[in-house]
Amino acid sequence: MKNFKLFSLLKTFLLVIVVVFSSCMSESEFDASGEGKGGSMARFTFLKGYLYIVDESTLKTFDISNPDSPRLLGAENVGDGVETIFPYENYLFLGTQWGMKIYSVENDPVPNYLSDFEHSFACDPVVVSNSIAYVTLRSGTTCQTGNDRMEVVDVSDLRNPQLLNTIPMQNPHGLSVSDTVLFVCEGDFGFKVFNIKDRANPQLVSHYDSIPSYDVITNYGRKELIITGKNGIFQYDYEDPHHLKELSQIMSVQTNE
Amino acid sequence: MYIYFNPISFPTSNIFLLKELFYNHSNSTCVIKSNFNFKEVMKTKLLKLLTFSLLPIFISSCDRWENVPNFDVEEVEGYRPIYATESETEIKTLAAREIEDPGKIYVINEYLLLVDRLKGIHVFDNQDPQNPQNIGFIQIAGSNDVAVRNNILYADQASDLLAIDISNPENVKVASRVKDVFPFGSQYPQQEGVYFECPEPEKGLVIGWEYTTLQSPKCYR
Repeated sequence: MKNFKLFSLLKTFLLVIVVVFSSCMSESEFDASGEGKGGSMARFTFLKGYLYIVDESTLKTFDISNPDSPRLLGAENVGDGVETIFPYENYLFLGTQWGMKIYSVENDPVPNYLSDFEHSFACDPVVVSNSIAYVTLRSGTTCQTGNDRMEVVDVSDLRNPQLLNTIPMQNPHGLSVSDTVLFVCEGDFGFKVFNIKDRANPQLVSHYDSIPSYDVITNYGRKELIITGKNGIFQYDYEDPHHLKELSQIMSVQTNE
Repeated sequence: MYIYFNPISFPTSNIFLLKELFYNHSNSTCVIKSNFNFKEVMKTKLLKLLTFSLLPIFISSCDRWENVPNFDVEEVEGYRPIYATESETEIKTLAAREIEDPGKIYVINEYLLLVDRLKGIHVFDNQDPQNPQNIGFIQIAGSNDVAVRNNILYADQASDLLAIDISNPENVKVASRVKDVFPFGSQYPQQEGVYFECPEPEKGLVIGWEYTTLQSPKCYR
């Protein structure tokens, strides 16, 4: 009798272990709820629960309240050469080969054109922080004119953006701003860290020339910088922007070879 | 991003008209900037051209396109599309694999996603950024972009927009597919200033490009 009691106790105990174990193994721990964050090279973004997509010459608005059947609400012709989209407050900033375009979704999910900031022909993502837009301009074969540079644009009046400053760059791609620090990918030339305490006058803090970079995301909460380029993924702690602390590297096959 | 096509290779009346417009009126080496949906685009552009007589403006902007290639080349180095096999076309979760051609990145909660250009998305558990874990690969042939909201992953696949339910990451499911969201797709090489063999959609999704010797290529970017 005693043995039997012990046995049933053991059985219960085992059962509990199995249940706990299997719940750990199940995929329910995988959590991709909420909304994620892309880099500045993104052509997709969410704003106020809508999905916005740019493709070459159109800005498309999707109602995704039912992901089983996304509904196209609008397709605005935004001119040729649209490459990136960046959400900021109630606005969408488009990086195009002709310049930066600003749209509002304040009153209507279908974006409303506000203004254009034109520059010479180049490829360019854009990020915005504290009413300042940082636009990188990359020349290349299909972006033939103009010099590689970063433009600092005051967008406090969204209908009338004003150029504040121009900083020469080498081959800029993605960029990310986090409070008073700005990170800019320079393609094969590595990546650069700028101090933007003076928002209009980015000061170069450091240049990591051995890390080819294409896209970048900053996680402000963790002061964590994620950089990707042809060599793989590189993560840094930027608590002290003057001395980035490398956290990890995930190398691509190209580098391993 | 612009892709140049050899106008002569398009045996449609529109294109011949175009050829005449350009070769008779401009007498320059300017080639039309265009994209994959060449015929569609040009139809509207041509209509505009003809209706509003914007031709002089079009031509005067030719100086932007001075590096236009010569399409009379026979043998030239360039890129040839690699098409997905049937199993590579399926949208499914595969075991974690090495990064081949890193593209855009995306962060959702503790996860870091990295697009492997035209092949799919690496999923890393990045709870500890000092020790990120490569936990799987979501195969999406022909993809370059990604965004995630409420366990739905949105991605492009050539010209389509996919919504993929990833709440069970081991067994992802296509929730919906919207066709022709990206009329120009991503079916061209990353490199700029190169000849390439124009992809033929009926051969499948392009999942990569090989650098090789091409015979009379008809595409350039």
